[in-house]
Amino acid sequence: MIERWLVLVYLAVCVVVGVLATRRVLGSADEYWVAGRRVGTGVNALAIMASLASGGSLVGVLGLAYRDGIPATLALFAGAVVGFPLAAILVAAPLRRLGRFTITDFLVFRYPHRIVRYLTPSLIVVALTVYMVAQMKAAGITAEALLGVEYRTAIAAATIVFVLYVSFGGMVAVTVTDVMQGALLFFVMGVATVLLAWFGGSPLGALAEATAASPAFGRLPEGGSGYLSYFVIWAAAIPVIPHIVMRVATARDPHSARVALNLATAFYGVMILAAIFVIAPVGVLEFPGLTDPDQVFLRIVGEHFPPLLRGLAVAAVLAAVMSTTDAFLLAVSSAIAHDLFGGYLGKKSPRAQSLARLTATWIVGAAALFWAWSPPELLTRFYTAGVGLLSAGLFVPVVFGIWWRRANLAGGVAALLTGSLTYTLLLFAGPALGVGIGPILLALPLSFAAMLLGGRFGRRDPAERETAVARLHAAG
Amino acid sequence: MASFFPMRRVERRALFGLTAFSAAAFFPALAGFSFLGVSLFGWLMALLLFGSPLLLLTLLRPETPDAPGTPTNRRDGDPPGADSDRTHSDGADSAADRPPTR
Repeated sequence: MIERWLVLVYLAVCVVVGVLATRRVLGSADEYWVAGRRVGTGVNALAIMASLASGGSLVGVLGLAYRDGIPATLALFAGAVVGFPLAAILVAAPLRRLGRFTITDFLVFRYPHRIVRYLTPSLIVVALTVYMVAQMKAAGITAEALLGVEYRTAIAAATIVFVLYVSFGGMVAVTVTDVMQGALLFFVMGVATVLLAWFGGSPLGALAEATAASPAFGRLPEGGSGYLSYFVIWAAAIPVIPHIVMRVATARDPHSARVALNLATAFYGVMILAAIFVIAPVGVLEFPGLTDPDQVFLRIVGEHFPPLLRGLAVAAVLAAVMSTTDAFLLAVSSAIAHDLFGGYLGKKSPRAQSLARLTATWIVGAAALFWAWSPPELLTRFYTAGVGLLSAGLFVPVVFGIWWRRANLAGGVAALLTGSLTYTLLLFAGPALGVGIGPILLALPLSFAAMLLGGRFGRRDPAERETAVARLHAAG
Repeated sequence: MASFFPMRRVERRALFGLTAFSAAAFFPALAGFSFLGVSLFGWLMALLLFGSPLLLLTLLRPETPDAPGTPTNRRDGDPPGADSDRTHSDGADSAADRPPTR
Protein backbone atom coordinates (compact mmCIF):
# COMPACT_ATOMS: atom_id res chain seq x y z
CA MET A 1 0.00 0.00 0.00
CA ILE A 2 2.81 2.41 0.86
CA GLU A 3 4.16 1.94 -2.68
CA ARG A 4 0.91 3.28 -4.18
CA TRP A 5 0.86 6.30 -1.88
CA LEU A 6 4.46 7.18 -2.68
CA VAL A 7 3.74 7.02 -6.41
CA LEU A 8 0.56 9.10 -6.02
CA VAL A 9 2.44 11.77 -4.04
CA TYR A 10 5.16 11.79 -6.68
CA LEU A 11 2.65 12.25 -9.54
CA ALA A 12 0.82 14.99 -7.64
CA VAL A 13 4.08 16.91 -7.07
CA CYS A 14 4.81 16.76 -10.83
CA VAL A 15 1.39 18.30 -11.62
CA VAL A 16 1.84 21.02 -8.97
CA VAL A 17 5.24 21.93 -10.46
CA GLY A 18 3.63 22.28 -13.91
CA VAL A 19 0.85 24.48 -12.58
CA LEU A 20 3.26 26.71 -10.66
CA ALA A 21 5.42 27.18 -13.76
CA THR A 22 2.46 28.18 -15.95
CA ARG A 23 2.46 31.90 -15.22
CA ARG A 24 6.16 32.20 -16.01
CA VAL A 25 6.20 30.32 -19.30
CA LEU A 26 2.95 30.73 -21.16
CA GLY A 27 3.56 34.27 -22.37
CA SER A 28 7.05 33.68 -23.80
CA ALA A 29 8.41 31.22 -26.34
CA ASP A 30 11.89 31.63 -24.84
CA GLU A 31 10.62 30.63 -21.38
CA TYR A 32 8.43 27.83 -22.73
CA TRP A 33 11.01 26.07 -24.95
CA VAL A 34 14.31 26.80 -23.16
CA ALA A 35 13.42 28.06 -19.64
CA GLY A 36 14.67 31.56 -20.38
CA ARG A 37 18.25 30.23 -20.92
CA ARG A 38 19.04 30.63 -17.22
CA VAL A 39 19.48 27.02 -16.08
CA GLY A 40 22.61 26.55 -13.94
CA THR A 41 25.26 23.91 -14.57
CA GLY A 42 24.44 21.49 -11.71
CA VAL A 43 20.70 21.63 -12.29
CA ASN A 44 21.16 21.15 -16.01
CA ALA A 45 23.52 18.19 -15.45
CA LEU A 46 20.98 16.41 -13.26
CA ALA A 47 18.18 17.17 -15.71
CA ILE A 48 20.25 15.89 -18.66
CA MET A 49 21.13 12.74 -16.74
CA ALA A 50 17.45 12.16 -15.94
CA SER A 51 16.33 12.69 -19.51
CA LEU A 52 19.00 10.27 -20.74
CA ALA A 53 18.23 7.66 -18.08
CA SER A 54 15.05 6.17 -19.48
CA GLY A 55 13.12 3.18 -18.20
CA GLY A 56 15.58 1.19 -20.27
CA SER A 57 18.47 2.45 -18.19
CA LEU A 58 17.01 1.08 -14.99
CA VAL A 59 14.96 -1.98 -15.87
CA GLY A 60 16.43 -2.63 -19.32
CA VAL A 61 20.12 -2.45 -18.44
CA LEU A 62 19.73 -5.22 -15.87
CA GLY A 63 17.59 -7.32 -18.20
CA LEU A 64 20.09 -6.89 -21.00
CA ALA A 65 23.08 -7.73 -18.80
CA TYR A 66 21.22 -10.80 -17.51
CA ARG A 67 20.44 -12.01 -21.04
CA ASP A 68 23.42 -10.89 -23.19
CA GLY A 69 26.16 -10.53 -20.55
CA ILE A 70 28.21 -7.60 -19.29
CA PRO A 71 30.39 -6.73 -22.34
CA ALA A 72 27.49 -6.49 -24.80
CA THR A 73 25.46 -4.36 -22.41
CA LEU A 74 28.36 -2.03 -21.79
CA ALA A 75 28.89 -1.64 -25.56
CA LEU A 76 25.33 -0.33 -25.94
CA PHE A 77 25.50 2.12 -23.07
CA ALA A 78 29.09 3.24 -23.76
CA GLY A 79 27.93 4.55 -27.16
CA ALA A 80 25.61 7.05 -25.47
CA VAL A 81 28.28 7.97 -22.96
CA VAL A 82 30.86 8.64 -25.67
CA GLY A 83 28.24 10.74 -27.44
CA PHE A 84 28.22 13.30 -24.64
CA PRO A 85 31.92 14.26 -24.87
CA LEU A 86 31.44 14.40 -28.65
CA ALA A 87 28.49 16.74 -28.10
CA ALA A 88 30.49 18.85 -25.66
CA ILE A 89 33.41 19.23 -28.07
CA LEU A 90 31.63 19.40 -31.40
CA VAL A 91 28.27 21.08 -30.99
CA ALA A 92 27.45 22.43 -27.50
CA ALA A 93 29.20 25.81 -27.59
CA PRO A 94 28.36 26.74 -31.22
CA LEU A 95 24.71 25.74 -30.82
CA ARG A 96 24.42 27.67 -27.56
CA ARG A 97 25.96 30.72 -29.25
CA LEU A 98 23.38 30.46 -32.03
CA GLY A 99 20.76 31.34 -29.41
CA ARG A 100 17.83 29.49 -30.97
CA PHE A 101 15.70 26.63 -29.62
CA THR A 102 15.98 23.45 -31.69
CA ILE A 103 18.26 21.41 -33.94
CA THR A 104 15.96 22.32 -36.86
CA ASP A 105 16.64 26.00 -36.13
CA PHE A 106 20.35 25.36 -36.63
CA LEU A 107 19.92 23.30 -39.78
CA VAL A 108 17.58 25.85 -41.36
CA PHE A 109 20.01 28.64 -40.44
CA ARG A 110 22.89 26.67 -41.99
CA TYR A 111 21.04 25.18 -44.99
CA PRO A 112 18.00 27.37 -45.72
CA HIS A 113 15.99 25.02 -47.92
CA ARG A 114 12.44 23.68 -47.84
CA ILE A 115 13.63 20.07 -47.68
CA VAL A 116 15.59 20.82 -44.50
CA ARG A 117 12.75 22.87 -42.99
CA TYR A 118 10.18 20.09 -43.38
CA LEU A 119 12.19 16.85 -43.42
CA THR A 120 14.12 17.49 -40.19
CA PRO A 121 11.09 18.03 -37.90
CA SER A 122 9.29 15.14 -39.63
CA LEU A 123 12.19 12.78 -38.82
CA ILE A 124 12.14 14.05 -35.23
CA VAL A 125 8.39 13.51 -34.83
CA VAL A 126 8.56 9.93 -36.15
CA ALA A 127 11.69 8.85 -34.26
CA LEU A 128 10.86 10.37 -30.89
CA THR A 129 7.19 9.37 -30.91
CA VAL A 130 8.23 5.75 -31.37
CA TYR A 131 10.64 6.13 -28.45
CA MET A 132 7.95 7.75 -26.28
CA VAL A 133 5.57 4.87 -26.89
CA ALA A 134 8.25 2.36 -25.86
CA GLN A 135 8.81 4.32 -22.63
CA MET A 136 5.11 4.41 -21.87
CA LYS A 137 4.91 0.68 -22.39
CA ALA A 138 7.75 0.22 -19.87
CA ALA A 139 5.89 2.40 -17.34
CA GLY A 140 2.69 0.40 -17.79
CA ILE A 141 4.39 -2.96 -17.40
CA THR A 142 6.26 -1.83 -14.27
CA ALA A 143 3.17 -0.36 -12.61
CA GLU A 144 1.27 -3.54 -13.39
CA ALA A 145 4.00 -5.76 -11.92
CA LEU A 146 4.85 -3.78 -8.79
CA LEU A 147 1.69 -1.83 -7.96
CA GLY A 148 -0.96 -4.19 -9.29
CA VAL A 149 -2.43 -1.38 -11.40
CA GLU A 150 -3.86 -2.45 -14.76
CA TYR A 151 -1.57 -1.62 -17.74
CA ARG A 152 -3.95 0.76 -19.54
CA THR A 153 -4.96 2.58 -16.36
CA ALA A 154 -1.28 3.08 -15.54
CA ILE A 155 -0.26 4.48 -18.94
CA ALA A 156 -3.34 6.71 -19.10
CA ALA A 157 -2.60 8.17 -15.64
CA ALA A 158 1.10 8.66 -16.38
CA THR A 159 0.34 10.27 -19.77
CA ILE A 160 -2.21 12.70 -18.31
CA VAL A 161 0.28 13.73 -15.64
CA PHE A 162 3.24 14.41 -17.91
CA VAL A 163 1.16 16.00 -20.65
CA LEU A 164 -0.33 18.31 -18.00
CA TYR A 165 2.96 19.52 -16.60
CA VAL A 166 4.75 19.72 -19.96
CA SER A 167 1.92 21.57 -21.73
CA PHE A 168 1.40 24.14 -18.98
CA GLY A 169 4.91 24.37 -17.54
CA GLY A 170 7.08 23.92 -20.65
CA MET A 171 10.84 23.57 -20.16
CA VAL A 172 10.70 25.11 -16.68
CA ALA A 173 8.44 22.30 -15.43
CA VAL A 174 10.43 19.68 -17.35
CA THR A 175 13.66 20.93 -15.75
CA VAL A 176 12.30 20.98 -12.19
CA THR A 177 10.65 17.56 -12.47
CA ASP A 178 13.71 16.11 -14.22
CA VAL A 179 15.93 17.28 -11.37
CA MET A 180 13.60 15.60 -8.86
CA GLN A 181 13.46 12.48 -10.99
CA GLY A 182 17.23 12.41 -11.53
CA ALA A 183 17.91 12.77 -7.81
CA LEU A 184 15.41 10.02 -6.97
CA LEU A 185 16.89 7.72 -9.59
CA PHE A 186 20.44 8.31 -8.39
CA PHE A 187 19.41 7.81 -4.76
CA VAL A 188 17.59 4.52 -5.42
CA MET A 189 20.41 3.12 -7.54
CA GLY A 190 22.94 4.21 -4.92
CA VAL A 191 21.05 2.60 -2.04
CA ALA A 192 20.44 -0.59 -4.04
CA THR A 193 24.13 -0.83 -4.92
CA VAL A 194 25.32 -0.27 -1.35
CA LEU A 195 22.77 -2.73 0.10
CA LEU A 196 23.59 -5.48 -2.38
CA ALA A 197 27.35 -4.96 -2.03
CA TRP A 198 26.87 -5.15 1.76
CA PHE A 199 24.95 -8.43 1.49
CA GLY A 200 27.54 -9.83 -0.92
CA GLY A 201 30.45 -9.01 1.41
CA SER A 202 32.36 -6.91 -1.17
CA PRO A 203 31.46 -4.69 -4.14
CA LEU A 204 32.68 -7.19 -6.74
CA GLY A 205 32.12 -10.40 -4.76
CA ALA A 206 28.90 -11.26 -6.55
CA LEU A 207 30.52 -10.48 -9.92
CA ALA A 208 33.26 -13.08 -9.47
CA GLU A 209 30.71 -15.66 -8.29
CA ALA A 210 28.30 -14.91 -11.13
CA THR A 211 30.92 -15.19 -13.87
CA ALA A 212 32.16 -18.44 -12.32
CA ALA A 213 28.62 -19.85 -12.19
CA SER A 214 27.71 -18.55 -15.65
CA PRO A 215 30.81 -17.80 -17.79
CA ALA A 216 28.66 -16.41 -20.62
CA PHE A 217 27.76 -13.51 -18.31
CA GLY A 218 31.29 -12.12 -18.73
CA ARG A 219 31.76 -12.82 -22.44
CA LEU A 220 30.76 -11.02 -25.61
CA PRO A 221 28.26 -13.10 -27.58
CA GLU A 222 28.61 -13.69 -31.32
CA GLY A 223 27.56 -10.90 -33.71
CA GLY A 224 30.04 -8.12 -32.94
CA SER A 225 28.87 -5.86 -35.80
CA GLY A 226 25.43 -5.59 -34.16
CA TYR A 227 26.96 -4.14 -30.99
CA LEU A 228 29.19 -1.87 -33.06
CA SER A 229 26.04 -0.56 -34.79
CA TYR A 230 24.33 0.26 -31.51
CA PHE A 231 27.50 1.91 -30.22
CA VAL A 232 27.77 4.09 -33.35
CA ILE A 233 24.04 4.93 -33.38
CA TRP A 234 24.11 6.29 -29.85
CA ALA A 235 27.52 7.97 -30.10
CA ALA A 236 26.33 9.84 -33.21
CA ALA A 237 22.82 10.50 -31.86
CA ILE A 238 23.65 12.35 -28.66
CA PRO A 239 25.21 15.41 -30.38
CA VAL A 240 22.07 15.86 -32.53
CA ILE A 241 19.20 14.34 -30.58
CA PRO A 242 16.60 17.11 -30.15
CA HIS A 243 15.90 16.93 -26.43
CA ILE A 244 19.61 17.12 -25.57
CA VAL A 245 20.09 20.03 -27.99
CA MET A 246 17.19 21.83 -26.27
CA ARG A 247 18.87 21.28 -22.91
CA VAL A 248 22.06 22.79 -24.34
CA ALA A 249 19.98 25.82 -25.32
CA THR A 250 18.72 26.21 -21.73
CA ALA A 251 22.26 26.67 -20.36
CA ARG A 252 23.21 30.16 -19.26
CA ASP A 253 26.38 30.13 -21.42
CA PRO A 254 28.35 27.80 -23.72
CA HIS A 255 30.82 26.71 -21.03
CA SER A 256 28.01 25.82 -18.65
CA ALA A 257 26.40 23.71 -21.40
CA ARG A 258 29.61 21.78 -22.00
CA VAL A 259 30.32 21.13 -18.33
CA ALA A 260 26.70 20.10 -17.70
CA LEU A 261 26.85 17.54 -20.52
CA ASN A 262 29.95 15.91 -19.06
CA LEU A 263 28.75 16.02 -15.46
CA ALA A 264 25.52 14.35 -16.59
CA THR A 265 27.53 11.65 -18.32
CA ALA A 266 29.65 11.06 -15.24
CA PHE A 267 26.49 10.58 -13.10
CA TYR A 268 24.97 8.34 -15.73
CA GLY A 269 28.15 6.29 -16.20
CA VAL A 270 28.48 5.64 -12.46
CA MET A 271 24.84 4.54 -12.31
CA ILE A 272 25.14 2.17 -15.27
CA LEU A 273 28.39 0.67 -13.98
CA ALA A 274 26.88 0.10 -10.54
CA ALA A 275 23.86 -1.60 -12.10
CA ILE A 276 25.96 -3.85 -14.34
CA PHE A 277 28.79 -4.78 -11.97
CA VAL A 278 26.96 -4.95 -8.63
CA ILE A 279 23.19 -5.42 -9.15
CA ALA A 280 23.05 -7.62 -12.27
CA PRO A 281 25.36 -10.34 -10.83
CA VAL A 282 22.96 -10.73 -7.88
CA GLY A 283 20.17 -11.37 -10.38
CA VAL A 284 22.25 -13.97 -12.23
CA LEU A 285 23.08 -15.79 -8.99
CA GLU A 286 19.68 -15.64 -7.29
CA PHE A 287 17.23 -15.84 -10.19
CA PRO A 288 18.70 -18.10 -12.89
CA GLY A 289 16.50 -19.15 -15.79
CA LEU A 290 14.08 -16.20 -15.88
CA THR A 291 12.03 -16.31 -19.09
CA ASP A 292 11.60 -12.52 -19.08
CA PRO A 293 15.01 -10.94 -18.27
CA ASP A 294 13.39 -7.52 -17.70
CA GLN A 295 11.95 -8.95 -14.49
CA VAL A 296 15.40 -9.09 -12.84
CA PHE A 297 15.21 -5.62 -11.28
CA LEU A 298 11.66 -6.19 -10.07
CA ARG A 299 12.62 -9.55 -8.55
CA ILE A 300 15.65 -8.11 -6.76
CA VAL A 301 13.57 -5.22 -5.44
CA GLY A 302 10.87 -7.61 -4.22
CA GLU A 303 13.39 -9.92 -2.55
CA HIS A 304 15.83 -7.53 -0.89
CA PHE A 305 14.12 -4.16 -0.32
CA PRO A 306 11.87 -3.13 2.61
CA PRO A 307 8.42 -1.71 1.67
CA LEU A 308 9.47 1.96 1.80
CA LEU A 309 12.41 1.34 -0.51
CA ARG A 310 10.19 -0.78 -2.79
CA GLY A 311 7.86 2.21 -3.12
CA LEU A 312 10.79 4.50 -3.89
CA ALA A 313 12.05 1.98 -6.46
CA VAL A 314 8.70 1.98 -8.28
CA ALA A 315 8.64 5.77 -8.19
CA ALA A 316 12.22 5.73 -9.53
CA VAL A 317 11.23 3.54 -12.49
CA LEU A 318 8.31 5.86 -13.23
CA ALA A 319 10.63 8.84 -12.77
CA ALA A 320 13.10 7.35 -15.25
CA VAL A 321 10.33 6.82 -17.78
CA MET A 322 8.68 10.20 -17.25
CA SER A 323 11.88 12.25 -17.26
CA THR A 324 12.74 10.89 -20.70
CA THR A 325 9.20 11.00 -22.03
CA ASP A 326 8.54 14.59 -20.94
CA ALA A 327 11.73 15.77 -22.65
CA PHE A 328 10.74 13.90 -25.82
CA LEU A 329 7.20 15.29 -25.63
CA LEU A 330 8.56 18.83 -25.45
CA ALA A 331 10.98 18.13 -28.33
CA VAL A 332 8.23 16.66 -30.54
CA SER A 333 5.88 19.53 -29.67
CA SER A 334 8.60 22.02 -30.59
CA ALA A 335 9.16 20.17 -33.88
CA ILE A 336 5.48 20.74 -34.68
CA ALA A 337 4.57 24.09 -33.10
CA HIS A 338 7.95 25.80 -33.58
CA ASP A 339 9.74 24.10 -36.49
CA LEU A 340 6.86 23.16 -38.80
CA PHE A 341 4.30 25.89 -38.06
CA GLY A 342 6.51 28.51 -36.40
CA GLY A 343 6.60 30.70 -39.52
CA TYR A 344 2.82 30.81 -39.73
CA LEU A 345 2.29 31.17 -35.97
CA GLY A 346 4.86 33.96 -35.73
CA LYS A 347 2.31 36.30 -37.32
CA LYS A 348 -0.31 35.48 -34.66
CA SER A 349 -0.78 37.01 -31.21
CA PRO A 350 1.26 35.69 -28.25
CA ARG A 351 -1.95 34.20 -26.84
CA ALA A 352 -2.58 32.28 -30.07
CA GLN A 353 1.03 31.07 -30.05
CA SER A 354 0.67 29.83 -26.46
CA LEU A 355 -2.53 28.03 -27.40
CA ALA A 356 -0.80 26.40 -30.37
CA ARG A 357 2.08 25.15 -28.18
CA LEU A 358 -0.37 23.74 -25.69
CA THR A 359 -2.49 22.08 -28.39
CA ALA A 360 0.57 20.53 -30.06
CA THR A 361 1.65 18.98 -26.74
CA TRP A 362 -1.79 17.50 -26.07
CA ILE A 363 -2.10 16.12 -29.61
CA VAL A 364 1.33 14.44 -29.43
CA GLY A 365 0.54 13.05 -25.96
CA ALA A 366 -2.82 11.70 -27.14
CA ALA A 367 -1.25 10.11 -30.24
CA ALA A 368 1.44 8.42 -28.13
CA LEU A 369 -1.18 7.17 -25.66
CA PHE A 370 -3.32 5.83 -28.50
CA TRP A 371 -0.36 3.87 -29.90
CA ALA A 372 0.82 2.67 -26.47
CA TRP A 373 -2.71 1.42 -25.71
CA SER A 374 -1.98 -1.69 -27.82
CA PRO A 375 1.75 -1.42 -28.57
CA PRO A 376 3.28 -3.50 -31.37
CA GLU A 377 5.24 -6.49 -30.08
CA LEU A 378 8.49 -5.40 -31.70
CA LEU A 379 8.30 -1.82 -30.53
CA THR A 380 11.27 -1.97 -28.20
CA ARG A 381 13.37 -3.33 -31.04
CA PHE A 382 12.76 -0.48 -33.40
CA TYR A 383 12.99 2.52 -31.09
CA THR A 384 16.76 2.31 -31.36
CA ALA A 385 16.17 2.19 -35.11
CA GLY A 386 14.28 5.48 -34.76
CA VAL A 387 17.23 7.04 -33.00
CA GLY A 388 19.47 5.57 -35.73
CA LEU A 389 17.41 7.42 -38.32
CA LEU A 390 18.15 10.70 -36.54
CA SER A 391 21.87 9.88 -36.30
CA ALA A 392 22.09 8.89 -39.96
CA GLY A 393 20.23 11.94 -41.20
CA LEU A 394 21.44 14.71 -38.90
CA PHE A 395 24.95 13.94 -37.61
CA VAL A 396 26.95 14.85 -40.72
CA PRO A 397 24.95 17.99 -41.70
CA VAL A 398 25.15 19.33 -38.13
CA VAL A 399 28.80 18.57 -37.35
CA PHE A 400 30.14 19.53 -40.78
CA GLY A 401 27.83 22.53 -40.90
CA ILE A 402 29.51 23.80 -37.76
CA TRP A 403 33.12 22.88 -38.46
CA TRP A 404 33.76 22.58 -42.20
CA ARG A 405 34.18 25.91 -43.95
CA ARG A 406 33.22 24.43 -47.32
CA ALA A 407 29.96 22.93 -46.11
CA ASN A 408 27.25 24.45 -48.29
CA LEU A 409 23.56 24.19 -49.10
CA ALA A 410 24.04 21.42 -51.69
CA GLY A 411 26.21 19.35 -49.35
CA GLY A 412 23.90 19.80 -46.35
CA VAL A 413 20.75 18.84 -48.21
CA ALA A 414 22.51 15.91 -49.92
CA ALA A 415 23.93 14.61 -46.62
CA LEU A 416 20.53 14.86 -44.89
CA LEU A 417 18.73 13.05 -47.70
CA THR A 418 21.43 10.43 -48.30
CA GLY A 419 21.81 9.56 -44.62
CA SER A 420 18.11 9.28 -43.83
CA LEU A 421 17.11 7.52 -47.06
CA THR A 422 20.00 5.03 -46.96
CA TYR A 423 19.25 4.18 -43.35
CA THR A 424 15.53 3.68 -44.02
CA LEU A 425 16.19 1.58 -47.12
CA LEU A 426 18.70 -0.70 -45.37
CA LEU A 427 16.58 -0.98 -42.25
CA PHE A 428 13.69 -2.46 -44.18
CA ALA A 429 15.42 -4.07 -47.17
CA GLY A 430 19.04 -4.59 -46.02
CA PRO A 431 18.91 -8.40 -45.82
CA ALA A 432 17.02 -8.63 -49.13
CA LEU A 433 19.73 -6.49 -50.75
CA GLY A 434 22.44 -8.72 -49.29
CA VAL A 435 23.73 -6.10 -46.84
CA GLY A 436 24.79 -7.91 -43.69
CA ILE A 437 25.95 -5.01 -41.49
CA GLY A 438 23.94 -2.50 -39.48
CA PRO A 439 22.33 0.28 -41.59
CA ILE A 440 24.10 3.02 -39.64
CA LEU A 441 27.52 1.65 -40.64
CA LEU A 442 26.73 2.41 -44.29
CA ALA A 443 24.38 5.36 -43.94
CA LEU A 444 26.84 7.57 -42.03
CA PRO A 445 29.76 7.13 -44.48
CA LEU A 446 27.42 7.74 -47.44
CA SER A 447 26.04 10.87 -45.79
CA PHE A 448 29.64 12.00 -45.27
CA ALA A 449 30.45 11.31 -48.95
CA ALA A 450 27.38 13.31 -50.03
CA MET A 451 28.52 16.26 -47.90
CA LEU A 452 32.01 16.13 -49.46
CA LEU A 453 30.65 15.94 -53.01
CA GLY A 454 28.20 18.77 -52.37
CA GLY A 455 30.95 20.90 -50.85
CA ARG A 456 33.27 20.17 -53.75
CA PHE A 457 30.89 20.66 -56.67
CA GLY A 458 28.02 22.73 -55.24
CA ARG A 459 27.73 26.51 -55.28
CA ARG A 460 29.60 28.24 -52.46
CA ASP A 461 27.43 29.76 -49.72
CA PRO A 462 27.00 33.56 -49.67
CA ALA A 463 29.66 35.44 -47.69
CA GLU A 464 27.21 36.61 -45.02
CA ARG A 465 26.30 33.02 -44.12
CA GLU A 466 29.98 32.07 -43.89
CA THR A 467 30.50 35.04 -41.58
CA ALA A 468 27.50 34.05 -39.48
CA VAL A 469 28.86 30.50 -39.10
CA ALA A 470 32.30 31.86 -38.18
CA ARG A 471 30.62 33.85 -35.37
CA LEU A 472 29.49 30.56 -33.81
CA HIS A 473 33.16 29.82 -33.13
CA ALA A 474 33.99 33.17 -31.55
CA ALA A 475 34.20 32.99 -27.76
CA GLY A 476 32.54 35.67 -25.70
CA MET B 1 42.43 29.53 -45.32
CA ALA B 2 42.12 26.17 -43.52
CA SER B 3 39.21 23.91 -44.47
CA PHE B 4 38.00 23.57 -40.89
CA PHE B 5 37.35 26.09 -38.16
CA PRO B 6 40.15 25.71 -35.62
CA MET B 7 39.54 23.68 -32.49
CA ARG B 8 41.53 23.91 -29.27
CA ARG B 9 44.44 21.54 -29.55
CA VAL B 10 43.59 19.77 -26.30
CA GLU B 11 40.02 19.12 -27.47
CA ARG B 12 41.21 17.88 -30.84
CA ARG B 13 43.48 15.43 -29.05
CA ALA B 14 40.67 14.32 -26.76
CA LEU B 15 38.43 13.75 -29.77
CA PHE B 16 41.11 11.72 -31.52
CA GLY B 17 41.89 9.79 -28.32
CA LEU B 18 38.26 8.87 -27.69
CA THR B 19 37.76 7.76 -31.29
CA ALA B 20 40.97 5.71 -31.32
CA PHE B 21 40.19 4.11 -27.95
CA SER B 22 36.65 3.19 -29.06
CA ALA B 23 37.92 1.71 -32.32
CA ALA B 24 40.64 -0.28 -30.52
CA ALA B 25 38.14 -1.66 -28.00
CA PHE B 26 36.13 -3.23 -30.82
CA PHE B 27 39.26 -4.89 -32.26
CA PRO B 28 38.41 -8.63 -32.40
CA ALA B 29 41.81 -9.82 -31.15
CA LEU B 30 41.04 -8.40 -27.68
CA ALA B 31 38.00 -10.63 -27.18
CA GLY B 32 40.04 -13.53 -25.76
CA PHE B 33 41.44 -11.87 -22.63
CA SER B 34 39.46 -11.67 -19.40
CA PHE B 35 39.70 -10.47 -15.78
CA LEU B 36 37.33 -11.52 -12.93
CA GLY B 37 35.53 -13.53 -15.58
CA VAL B 38 34.73 -10.44 -17.68
CA SER B 39 36.34 -10.08 -21.12
CA LEU B 40 38.84 -7.29 -21.75
CA PHE B 41 36.36 -5.73 -24.17
CA GLY B 42 33.93 -5.31 -21.26
CA TRP B 43 36.57 -3.64 -19.08
CA LEU B 44 37.56 -1.30 -21.91
CA MET B 45 33.92 -0.30 -22.39
CA ALA B 46 33.61 0.26 -18.62
CA LEU B 47 36.72 2.44 -18.72
CA LEU B 48 35.19 4.39 -21.60
CA LEU B 49 31.94 4.83 -19.67
CA PHE B 50 33.68 6.13 -16.60
CA GLY B 51 36.74 7.80 -18.07
CA SER B 52 35.46 9.79 -21.03
CA PRO B 53 33.34 12.31 -19.08
CA LEU B 54 36.05 12.70 -16.45
CA LEU B 55 38.65 13.31 -19.14
CA LEU B 56 36.51 16.02 -20.72
CA LEU B 57 35.70 17.61 -17.36
CA THR B 58 39.40 18.06 -16.70
CA LEU B 59 39.97 19.54 -20.15
CA LEU B 60 37.08 21.99 -20.37
CA ARG B 61 38.02 25.50 -19.43
CA PRO B 62 35.85 28.60 -19.27
CA GLU B 63 35.82 30.85 -22.28
CA THR B 64 36.78 34.47 -21.90
CA PRO B 65 35.23 37.14 -24.07
CA ASP B 66 37.49 38.32 -26.83
CA ALA B 67 38.43 41.97 -26.66
CA PRO B 68 36.92 43.80 -29.66
CA GLY B 69 39.42 44.49 -32.38
CA THR B 70 42.16 42.28 -30.97
CA PRO B 71 43.36 38.97 -32.36
CA THR B 72 41.47 36.17 -30.66
CA ASN B 73 42.56 32.81 -29.39
CA ARG B 74 45.41 30.52 -29.96
CA ARG B 75 46.47 29.07 -33.26
CA ASP B 76 48.66 26.03 -33.65
CA GLY B 77 52.23 27.21 -33.47
CA ASP B 78 51.58 29.84 -30.82
CA PRO B 79 54.16 29.69 -28.04
CA PRO B 80 53.16 27.62 -25.01
CA GLY B 81 51.09 29.61 -22.54
CA ALA B 82 49.88 32.01 -25.18
CA ASP B 83 46.40 30.58 -24.94
CA SER B 84 45.96 30.45 -21.19
CA ASP B 85 42.19 30.83 -21.23
CA ARG B 86 41.42 31.22 -24.86
CA THR B 87 39.29 28.68 -26.61
CA HIS B 88 38.54 28.88 -30.31
CA SER B 89 40.50 30.71 -32.92
CA ASP B 90 38.50 32.57 -35.51
CA GLY B 91 41.00 31.21 -38.01
CA ALA B 92 40.95 34.39 -40.10
CA ASP B 93 44.03 35.25 -42.06
CA SER B 94 43.77 39.00 -41.74
CA ALA B 95 41.85 41.59 -39.79
CA ALA B 96 39.72 42.26 -42.87
CA ASP B 97 38.24 38.80 -43.10
CA ARG B 98 38.07 38.15 -39.39
CA PRO B 99 34.41 37.79 -38.33
CA PRO B 100 33.08 40.13 -35.69
CA THR B 101 33.16 38.74 -32.17
CA ARG B 102 30.16 38.66 -29.85
